Parts: sequence; C-alpha cells; structure tokens
Amino acid sequence: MSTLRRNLRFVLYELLEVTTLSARERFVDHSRQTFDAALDVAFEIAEKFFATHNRKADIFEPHVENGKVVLIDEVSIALEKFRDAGFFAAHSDFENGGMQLPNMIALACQSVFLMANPATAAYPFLTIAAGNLLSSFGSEAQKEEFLGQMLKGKWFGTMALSEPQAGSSLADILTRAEPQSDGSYRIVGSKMWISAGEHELSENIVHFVLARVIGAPAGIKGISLFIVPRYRSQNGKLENNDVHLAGLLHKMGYRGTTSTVLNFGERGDCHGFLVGVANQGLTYMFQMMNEARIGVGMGAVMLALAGYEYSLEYARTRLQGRDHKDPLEPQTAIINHADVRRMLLEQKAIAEGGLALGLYASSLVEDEKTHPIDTNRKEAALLLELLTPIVKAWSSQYGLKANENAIQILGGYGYTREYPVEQIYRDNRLNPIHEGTTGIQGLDLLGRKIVQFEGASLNLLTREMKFTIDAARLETDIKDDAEQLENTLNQALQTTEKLLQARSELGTKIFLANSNTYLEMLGHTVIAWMWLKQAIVAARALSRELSEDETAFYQGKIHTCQFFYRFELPKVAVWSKLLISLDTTVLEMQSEWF
Amino acid sequence: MKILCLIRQVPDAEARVKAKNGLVDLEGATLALDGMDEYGVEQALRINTDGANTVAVALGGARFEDAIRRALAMGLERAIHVESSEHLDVVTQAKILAKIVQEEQPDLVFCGGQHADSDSQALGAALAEALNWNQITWTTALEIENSSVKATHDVDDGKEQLELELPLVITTQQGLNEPRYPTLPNIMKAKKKEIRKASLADYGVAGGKVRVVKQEIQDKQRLNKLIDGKDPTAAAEELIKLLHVEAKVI
Ligand SMILES: Cc1cc2nc3c(=O)[nH]c(=O)nc-3n(C[C@H](O)[C@H](O)[C@H](O)COP(=O)(O)OP(=O)(O)OC[C@H]3O[C@@H](n4cnc5c(N)ncnc54)[C@H](O)[C@@H]3O)c2cc1C
Repeated sequence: MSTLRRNLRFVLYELLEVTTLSARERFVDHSRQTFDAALDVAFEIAEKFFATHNRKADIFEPHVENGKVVLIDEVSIALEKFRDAGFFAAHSDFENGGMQLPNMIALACQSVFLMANPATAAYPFLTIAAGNLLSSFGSEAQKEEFLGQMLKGKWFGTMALSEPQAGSSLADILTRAEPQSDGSYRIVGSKMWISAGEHELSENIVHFVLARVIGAPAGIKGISLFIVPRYRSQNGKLENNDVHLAGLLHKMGYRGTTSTVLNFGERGDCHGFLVGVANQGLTYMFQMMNEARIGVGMGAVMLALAGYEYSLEYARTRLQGRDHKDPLEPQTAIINHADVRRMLLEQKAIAEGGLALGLYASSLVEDEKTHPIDTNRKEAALLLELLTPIVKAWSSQYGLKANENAIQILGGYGYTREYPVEQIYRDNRLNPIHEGTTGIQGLDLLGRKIVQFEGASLNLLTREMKFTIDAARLETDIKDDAEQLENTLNQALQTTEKLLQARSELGTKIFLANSNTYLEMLGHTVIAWMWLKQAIVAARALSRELSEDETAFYQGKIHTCQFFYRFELPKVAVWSKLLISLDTTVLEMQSEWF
Repeated sequence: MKILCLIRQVPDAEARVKAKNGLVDLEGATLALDGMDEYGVEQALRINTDGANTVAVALGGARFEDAIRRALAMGLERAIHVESSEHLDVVTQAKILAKIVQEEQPDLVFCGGQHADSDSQALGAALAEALNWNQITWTTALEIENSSVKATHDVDDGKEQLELELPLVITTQQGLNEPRYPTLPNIMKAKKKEIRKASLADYGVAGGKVRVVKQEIQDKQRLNKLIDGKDPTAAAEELIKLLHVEAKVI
C-alpha cells in the first residue's frame, strides 16, 4: 500500500492543501500531525487486520447455520480494531466522541480500508452513511436512541432501498408502512440486495428503509424513510422486530459482505419509525447520495490502485524475453517491454487521476458544509452536483479497465486464483452497478446536472478549469498540455450547447440518447484537468532540490499526465463528433432486429 | 508508581532507506515509533492504566516529535524531548538519560530491547550502569507487586524467571504484550499534553564520543527461488524450510 501512502500525501497536502482547513473554526485543533496520526492508524489496522483476510473472506463466503449468518472470525476481529480506534466516529463532533476530521481526511482513511479489504470495510461504511442520514434528518429522540450506538460501532446500519422489482426505478417500490396510534408504523414488504442486512457482528442492525405510507401518492413523491431496527427496545429490553432473512445472495465478488433478501413484517409486528416528514424519503436519500457515490468512486479507485501496485511489483520481477536476440543473455524483467509499460501507465493514469478527483470532490463536500463564505459554500454545492456522477461512474468504469490491465500483465497467472488480481477485478465489478448504474449516472449528469440552474454548474467547472489552464501555461514542461486541455474543454462546451439546443428543438429522447457517451466525454475532460493540476504541483516541486525517490515520483506524475493527454484525451474529439451529430443509431435500433 | 519510557523514532520496517553522501538519508522515508519501545509504552500503560505518572523520554532530532505524540496518543501522560540531531553514542546517551532519571525519580524505566535501525542492544544496559541500577533484559513477561518484580527473560533456547526489587531498568522483547493503537480521540488529547523540550547543553553534554564516518545500505539480491507446486504438501514443507533455514524469518 506504499503507492497509496505517497499519493495520499501528495493529493492531500500538496494538491488540495488540506492543512489550510485549520483556519476554519471547526478544525482549529487540527494540523498535519493529527491528520498523519489518524492516517497512520488507518494504515496499520488495515494492513494488519483487513488485508490479511481479504482472500479468505472471498473463499469462505458467508453462509447460514441454524438460522444465523456465519462469517469467518477475522471479520469481527478487524471490525473490533476499527471500532476501538474510533473510526466509526472519525468525522463526528468532539462532543459525540469523534475526532472531527475534515471530510477529505476521513475519506482518505476510509480509502485505506477499501484498498485492503472492501468487503469487510463495507460493514462500517454503510453504518457511517446511515448514521449521517440520521444525523441530518432524524429527530433528537431518534438520534439519542440510535445514533450514539452507531457512532460507537455497537449497532451497524444498512440502506434498504432496492426491491426485486425496483432497482434503478425506486419510484416502483412496494414496501408499505401503516400508521399506528402511537406514532410508529407497521412495515410490510421485501427488500433485495441489502448489503450487511444480516450478521452477528453487532448487537443490533438499524435498517434505513424506503416505504410507502398507505394512501401516499404514486411514484417518488410518495416514498418515506423509516428506521427499522432488527431488535427494537421494549421495556428496556431489545425485542425481535419481525425482520427476517429470506436468503443470502451469492455474488461474483465482494463476497465477504452479506447480500441479503429481507422480509419485513411477516408476522405483522415490524415497527418502523418515520424519519423527518412523510413522502420526503427520496429527497433525504438523495442528499446523502453525493457522499455515498463519492465513496463508491473511491472504492473503485482503490481497487484500481491495488491491481496497479500488484502488477507493478510483478512486472519488475517477472523475467520474460530479452532486450536483444542473444539467447545466452539473461531474460529481462517484463517492465522493460514497451507494451507492459503502456498497461502500467494506463493503470496509473486511471488510479491516480481518480484518486485526485475523489478527494477533490470530498473537498467540495467539506466546503459546502464549512466554508466561511456563503458564495463559496453555494458554489461548492453546485460543482459537487455536477462532479458526483463522474466520480461515481468514470472511476468505476475505468477502474475495471485498470484491473483488466493488471490481469493482462500477469498473463496466465493473472487468470488463476493463486494471484489476487482476479479477485480485485471481481470485487470491482460491483462498482458500476450499485448506488445507481453507469447508465443512470449518464442520465443524471446530462438530464439533470447539466440542465439545472441554467447550466450554473458547468459554468463553474469551466471557470475552475480555466484557472488551472492559466497556471499550467506558466510551467514550461506542461504548457502544451494546457493548450490541449483548453481546446478539449471548448469542444466539450460546444457539444453541450448543441445538445441543449437539440433538447429544446427535438425533445429529451434525442437529447439523452447518447448520455453515456456524454459521460465519457466530460469524464475524460475532468480527469485530464485533475492530471494537469497534479502536473503543475509536480513541475513546481521539480524546481527544488529533491532526493532521487522524490524526483522520480514527480517525474512520474508529469509523464503520466503526458500519457493521458496523448493516449486518452484525443478520444474526446471522437465522442464529441458523435454527440454533435445527434446520432440516433442506438435509439432507432429495434428489439426485433437483435 | 512512576514510570519512564525511553522512545526513539526509526524508519518504518517497509521504508526504503537510501544513503546519500555516505550517510543514511531519511528524506521521504516513513518513520515510526520503534516497535520495541512500543512494548515498553504498552507495559507502562498496563501498570498505570490511567496513564498517570508515565513519562516518555526521547533523545533525538526535531522529527522525533511524531513518535513522542504517538506515545502520548497511546496514553502516556507527558514527555521530555532532548532535541539534538547529532549522532550520539549509546554511552553518551545513557549519561544524559541518567540525569533525566535522577531529576524525575521514577521507579521503573522501560527501554526497547533492540534499536530497529542500528540493531544496538546496549542502551538499557548502559543506562542501568550509569544509574547503578539493576536491569532485566529481553523481558517477555512481567508481574509487579509492591516493589518486587517477577520477570521472564528470554535466553537463546529457553527462558529464565527472575525476581528483583525496584528501581529497575527493563528492556523489552517481542511477546511482552500486544501494543494498543492510539484511538482517534486520544490523538487529539495527545496534542494538548506537555512535551518539555531540552537541549544537550542543559545536561552539560557537547556531543558524542564516536564520529560516524560512513554509512552504507546493504544491497540484498532477490533469490527468485521457484518451488514446484505439483505436490502441494511437499511445496509447503519446502517453503517452510526456506523461510526457516535460509530467510530465518520463522
Ligand atoms: C452486491 C450488491 C449490493 C447492493 N447493495 C444494496 C444495498 O445495500 N441497498 C440497496 O437498496 N440496494 C443495493 N443494491 C442494489 C443496487 O442498487 C441495484 O442493483 C441497482 O440500483 C440496479 O438495479 P437492478 O439490479 O434492479 O437493475 P435494473 O434497474 O433492472 O437495471 C438493469 C439494467 O438496465 C439499465 N436501466 C434501468 N433503467 C434504465 C433507464 N431508465 N435508462 C437507461 N438504462 C436503464 C441499468 O443501467 C442496467 O444496466 C446492491 C446491488 C448489488 C449487486
């Protein structure tokens, strides 16, 4: 995990200058020393207790014995260490026993666990996300009963949205909530895919369930959010709350996380507690979605980095072929073959570009909450809205591409289960699916984020990118890249204009027909921006006296930027051309013609 | 009981260290509290569970402060940092540390059994000598009742049980305990704990007696040994043999 360590230092301190946050009242007690100390503990626990059972948890999947879910012991030992160190409350206020870490550092710590063992990390991260939901929208009494236990890591949480017939289209959920005279609700329905929905790792499980109050309007306007605990308190004791495990799902990857089908209210005795007001459930969920989606994007990036680290080490030690034709000459390490370097560069460009973007997005989450200036808070929120689908979808799609390269570098060995890269790929395959598929992210980006507030988000992105372009023009080594990014940005903006025109003249169907291509186009442009930002920092660093290792690190940054600009960025022109032509090939294809 | 824990900062076991101009260059290397010292910190916190009367003592450059904060975040009460980036031989270090011990009057001093960077095992012994105290080295188990101490001391192929009276210098060995991790709230608390800064001059020392002329990093070649895996049992046995006999890691 040494690549992650060095890159976190680079992105957090050099690129995003996270220590400047200590000027904000919330973070006055913080400094680089406290951030580093938290990251150190994350690395130690992740390396010693999470990474060490990543493979074993994949082989020995969760299963049910005598009605209880059984996991390998290492999972609960790792989570105990995570809990004892206080990571459940890392971001939370000092008064709640938290460390009040800025979002960027909390996310960086989470990333360390995601790289070591994403399946075990899912249990606490779902709990943290559910806790954030409660802390934003729950009543004081609900926080008192549930949040404290979740921040201590004694009770875990889940997000129970999906149902067998309602995945992407949450408007179609059927789970019902019947109001009771005591203010609670009785919940009846089935939820599918619920991660961490059942286990014995915590004393209780707090499900955050989307359901319809009886008589609520159809569609998304009639969905409410409920707290539904596995055990509810009754007369000072925890009683069974009529939540049943209908079955475990057997997945391609992420096997250590239980994926459950849950039945609520089989006996008519499942108590649910309304969060906020009725019919606002999806609005609440979506407010938390930005952070959850950034988390998924970062998860994908971490697995891209894991594959990169492993295949890099492998390429340096695997001997195959010769530099010259002389058969008596010893074989050379495969890293010396140009095509292997290409595959390593592609992984590096994706993983480190994605890491910079994920943490940048998390700096916007922070600014939205704690920036002292009102305009900056609003601008951060707008920019974050636009970047979230890119963080989520670009990172998960290209993260997999990175993993394919890792497998390819290992050749036949990569295809076997003796080496970790196949598991990394299988685990990563989830990321383009959950928290909204790539298709849904494309629609969200073009259909909502570009259009809303009269294009204010895209204007902000343009402004920010131009700042970077102007700064890069001053650095001799990268001024051509600055030029190229400016041209690409202009191309992307013209494309957007053309599409918006088509929207008003030809309707949304044509406008959105190629939204996935639009996501690729803007995604690549944004990642190119992240690379230019990194290259500026690197170019400036190289003007100082540096050790050999440090020189190599920064040169690697500038060279990878160059790789992305020569091999990847030109694709934007192809995508742009297709989008501007308002191509309808996909739209016009008929079901019968397949 | 008052306890002093001697601590040092060393390159992390995974860190790639390089030599530059004939001296080890730590720029960019990940540094950590010496694992052997961590056993001492942990043991002190097991004796004084609330951390009261436990003091970290460090003798080294400004960068040592991270290791000191780590020991404080684990739970020690306060620290004394004699700041000097000079290379000091162990005997000179022991002289300075003995003066601190005389100032602080502890009952017990913990010292790492071996330095992770230089491999030296002499500091505990040199300090005990400078203080004219008894010492227990390579300690793997410890029980203290009033002022009497029962300890297990590792020897090559076995162990010895010792009983001694306080005050003592005790050097640690792997197996003594499993050190705790600092908790996130304790990292914040550690920030507010006292680190008293001192200089060599405060202890009447101008410098060490030994001058380092040159340092080199050992160049270890990979063996690239491949074990035939057709018979898994034989392969596992072969691997264990290699790790035990050649690599000497198990
Ligand atoms: C391992 C795992 C863990 C999960 N964890 C949870 C969890 O903890 N909680 C939870 O609530 N859910 C969870 N999910 C559910 C997940 O969010 C859904 O699987 C996802 O939203 C997709 O829904 P679906 O599977 O029903 O696919 P569908 O919605 O049926 O989609 C199938 C395909 O059709 C496409 N599609 C659908 N609608 C459109 C459209 N309007 N336009 C264009 N294309 C469209 C999709 O992009 C996709 O390619 C999990 C899923 C998995 C696999």
